[in-house]
Amino acid sequence: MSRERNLEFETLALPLLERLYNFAYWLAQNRDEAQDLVQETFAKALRGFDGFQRGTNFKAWMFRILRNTFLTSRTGLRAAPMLDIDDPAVEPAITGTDDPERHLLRVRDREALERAMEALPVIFREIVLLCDVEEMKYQEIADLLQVPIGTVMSRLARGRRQLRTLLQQKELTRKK
Amino acid sequence: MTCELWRDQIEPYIDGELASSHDAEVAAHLRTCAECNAFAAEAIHLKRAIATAGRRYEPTPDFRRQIMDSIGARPSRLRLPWLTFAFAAALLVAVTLGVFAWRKHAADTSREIADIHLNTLASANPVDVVSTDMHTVKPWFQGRVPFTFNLPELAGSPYSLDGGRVAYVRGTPCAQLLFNYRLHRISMLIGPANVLGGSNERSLPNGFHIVKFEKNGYSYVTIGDAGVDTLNELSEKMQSAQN
Repeated sequence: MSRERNLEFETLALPLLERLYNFAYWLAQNRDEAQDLVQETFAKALRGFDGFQRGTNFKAWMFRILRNTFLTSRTGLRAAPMLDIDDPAVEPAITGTDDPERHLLRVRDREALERAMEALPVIFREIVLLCDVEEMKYQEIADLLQVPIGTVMSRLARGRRQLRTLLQQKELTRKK
Repeated sequence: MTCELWRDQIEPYIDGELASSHDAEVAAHLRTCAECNAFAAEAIHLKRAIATAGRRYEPTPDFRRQIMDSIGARPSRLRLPWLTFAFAAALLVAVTLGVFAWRKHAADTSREIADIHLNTLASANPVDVVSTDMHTVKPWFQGRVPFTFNLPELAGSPYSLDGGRVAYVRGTPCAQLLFNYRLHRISMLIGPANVLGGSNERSLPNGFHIVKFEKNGYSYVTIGDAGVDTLNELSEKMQSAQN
């Protein structure tokens, strides 16, 4: 790769390091694995940078490489759901009351929220992070995950619903 | 449409993903339905809380260097004859030490301000005076901070005031105001200029931006995860109010 192209990669990729690392850590839930994932992502992206089309979404491209690297890693393979996750019939039963006021209090407890996010199945965790932390548009997420936009919407809704359930369960466990 | 059907629209509405015509319909429904309104309020809080809690992990400086090395991004060493280099280095050190001390102070202060903002967002009671009314918030600070300031009129603007509290920066009491802009929360800290640092614009590695201005020896520091333009606009409103 030419020196100019290498510099272009560096200029585009380095500012994303913090975001990619944060996302990798959330996926792998482990520092060493997060570092390996990011390292591999940068290596793959640098190798494939000639194939990257200028003017298209570089951030989404990097996140896609990271996510695909994760999915083929040992943790990723273990986390890959065995069930059809986009089938609403397999939604876990929601227990307890569904009172927005009560949710509000739990949401303000950052530690409880972090625990709940960790407990969320990775397929939901990633979409919630991409939307709420990375502030990606539904279409960007659809391109990144290579699924239709309708799937993004339903997966996101289910992810958030599960997060609420988890927060609620955590509270119930703590009260016992 | 039943409320159950509206519910499916509320999260995309909050994510800013509905077509504008549909957007207005949902907004109209939220004004008339208390239950859906409560659901929307909770969804906004959840989204905000995820945005904050989700920014959790930072790479170590060592790891950053490792990545830079791996993509060949380390700055290449100057290959000057060593005497020339030693002379240049000595000169550079003398100049840099002064600049470094000043910049370190500014960087540390920015970090401290970011921490204050983050702690406020994570707190169950982010503000001590809860009011959207500037005529309530301004007098509350009397006797709590040793200076006074004016608040801008925000009616009709996309910004709203949540309230305020006293924050301590380097042990000095400063006024902290909390504003809302769409889904973003923005803090403004007001305090002595020598405490809150110089008036340069900065972006922090955790995604926050900082915009500052100074007036009569006091600094007005605006921080949030909204875009720099948004922070600038609020900062300018505040600046005009001080004239």
